[in-house]
Amino acid sequence: MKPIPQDIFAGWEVIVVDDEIDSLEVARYILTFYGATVYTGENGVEGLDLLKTVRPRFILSDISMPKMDGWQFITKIREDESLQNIPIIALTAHAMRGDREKVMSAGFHHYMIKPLSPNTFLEQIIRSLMNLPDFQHLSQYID
Amino acid sequence: MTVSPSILPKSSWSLRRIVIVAQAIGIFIILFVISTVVYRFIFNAESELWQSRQSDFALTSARIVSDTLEQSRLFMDIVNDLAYDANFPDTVANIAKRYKSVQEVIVLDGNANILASFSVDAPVLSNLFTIRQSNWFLQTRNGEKYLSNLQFSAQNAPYIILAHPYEQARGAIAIRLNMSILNDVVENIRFGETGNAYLVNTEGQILAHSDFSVVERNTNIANRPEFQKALNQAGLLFNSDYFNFLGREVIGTSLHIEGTNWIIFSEIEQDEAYVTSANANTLLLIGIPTLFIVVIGAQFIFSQRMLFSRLASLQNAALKITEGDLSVRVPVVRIDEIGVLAHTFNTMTASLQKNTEELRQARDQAIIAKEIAQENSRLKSEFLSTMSHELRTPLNAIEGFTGIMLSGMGVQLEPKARNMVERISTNSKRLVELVNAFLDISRIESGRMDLVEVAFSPTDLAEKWRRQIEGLAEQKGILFSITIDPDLPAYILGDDDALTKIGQNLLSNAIKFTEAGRIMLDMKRHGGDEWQIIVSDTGIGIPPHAQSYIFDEFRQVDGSSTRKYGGTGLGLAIVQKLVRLMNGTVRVDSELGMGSTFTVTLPLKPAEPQPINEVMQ
Repeated sequence: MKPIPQDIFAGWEVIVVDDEIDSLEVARYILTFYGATVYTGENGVEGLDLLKTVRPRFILSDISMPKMDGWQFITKIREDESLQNIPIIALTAHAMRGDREKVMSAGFHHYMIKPLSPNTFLEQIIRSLMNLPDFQHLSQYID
Repeated sequence: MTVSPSILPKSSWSLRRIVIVAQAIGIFIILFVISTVVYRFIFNAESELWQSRQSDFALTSARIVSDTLEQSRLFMDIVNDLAYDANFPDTVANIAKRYKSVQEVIVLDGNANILASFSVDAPVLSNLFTIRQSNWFLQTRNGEKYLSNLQFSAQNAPYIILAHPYEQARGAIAIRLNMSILNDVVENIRFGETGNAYLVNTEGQILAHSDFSVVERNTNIANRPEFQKALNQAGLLFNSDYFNFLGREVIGTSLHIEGTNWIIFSEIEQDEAYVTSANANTLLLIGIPTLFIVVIGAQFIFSQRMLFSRLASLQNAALKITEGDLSVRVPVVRIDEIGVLAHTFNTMTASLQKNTEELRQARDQAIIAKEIAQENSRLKSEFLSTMSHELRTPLNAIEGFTGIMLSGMGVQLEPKARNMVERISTNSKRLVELVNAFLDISRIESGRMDLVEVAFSPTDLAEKWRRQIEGLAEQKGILFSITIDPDLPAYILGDDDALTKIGQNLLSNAIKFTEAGRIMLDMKRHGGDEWQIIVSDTGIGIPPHAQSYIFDEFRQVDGSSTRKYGGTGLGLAIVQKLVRLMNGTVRVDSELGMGSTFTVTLPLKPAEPQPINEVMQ
């Protein structure tokens, strides 16, 4: 991977939803460091609330959460016509066999398994987005 | 338990019907034969009885008639022997009075002069004008005896004339016999209600009959067949069935009376003669069918109770068993063939029921055991899943924060602190590896590692592995090369995730134990139906004694190498378990100080090219 400029996400709004406050903080820190404005929520309900005011470039969501989990959260989002084009990436500690297939078929764009080092975290986000029409410029950072 | 009954062809005649019909035919034949024999026996006995009785009557009648004629002749012999004197006429009259049948007597000389005459009524024979032309006089004068046909007087009284020569005067003795007396004789021959007798001469004229009017009418039966037959038969003739001249159906006997041209008939009407036979016949006509019905009915009821109802209960029981009801039992009415069959049937059903019950219990137990096993497996799986999740979550925070501190994302560390954080990071990575390896081992050993078969490209797979491993190799300054055998199919069926774990473990081991030189990944076809993944390095190598246990869990070449080279000690164990799951083998070739070569040999399943989206990791 080539060096990532610190402004790679400059001007981007990103929503991160996770009930683990430390995981949330890691993600928020890294994304903020690379220029993004990060909105965080601790469950699907808070994520939906954020979506009423924010139009993020992408969403990062945990799967197991109280009140509203990742499955319900993505279902609600997919029901809303205006939110169709927002990429949603699952970030979860569920690493059992078959979990990836379940996640992908639920409509997530990508599946990232905790734990992740910051570099791997960043690389996986870039790899998952760079094939989408609006993000093709990201491929320049990947060998 | 349901069994679809096989379709029987359209039923043939039922056993019951065959038995009943066969019995009916048999019994009918037996009864018919018996009744015929009985009837014939009775009829013959009765017929013989009447034959013998009628013969007796005929013979008796014939004797009476013969006697009458004999007496008349005796009388004429006496007259013939009398001396002709003055008393002759009186003597003749006195003797004639003693013979009841003699009504008139006349004795003539050769010139037809009356020597004596006597008559109890108006004289018929003593007419001097007719004597000379009369047959009896002309015949007798020639020395012959004469017997006339039946004749009737002016008073319509029947009579016959008997004439003998009168030797003393070369004349004739003639008597007139009152045939009413013969009638009396015939009249006396009566038997039963309708049995009677009559006298006929050879010209068919009835001389005497119990019904005198028959005689008075001068009845002639010369044309009757029974008369013709009697005429041609000397002595006794029995005629079993004919219609007589009065139109009655009779049985009869005829007999020529010796010394005369007379035949005596003795007849009785059939209705009376065969009354016993007729009664027997009636009895048989009513009795035999009744007996037939009774016997058949009894037979039917008997066979129904002894055979068919019992067969039916067997059949019903068998039907219920077919429907799955094994509690059914057949009543053992009595110990005979069917009883034994029913008993055997019951024993069989009981045994079947017991076996089925045992099978059912065994099945229930197996189901429960399976459910318990499934539940255990599910709980284990859930435990693994939860443990994985709960370990990864805190590790994520550690990895994240140490990573942030070490990768220059706006956090400055003093060298001492940086060193410590680096150590935290290293240990954290080891822990992550351990958790992953641990979960892999647990999954494989608990049998929850269900391999899938998808089509993948070996080239793409190798490229993916290269991406994952390249960074590490570069860090250590080691060359990494990939060789793909052109004979390998473009797409292979297999579990690419499991293969990736194998490849990752082997490649990371190779890097781990190689300080300088190169590592190589070869994928090649091996024979017709196998392919190989070969990972070789120019590292430290493995001593021969260690080659046997390096695939065991937590075993590296020696205890110190874990600390020196890192790693979980589970990598090769995972490789071997996965390879075995895939029905393959893994082999190590190594020379100490020269390097190691790990060869994984797997069954080759070529796949149709079907592009799948490469999964990015």
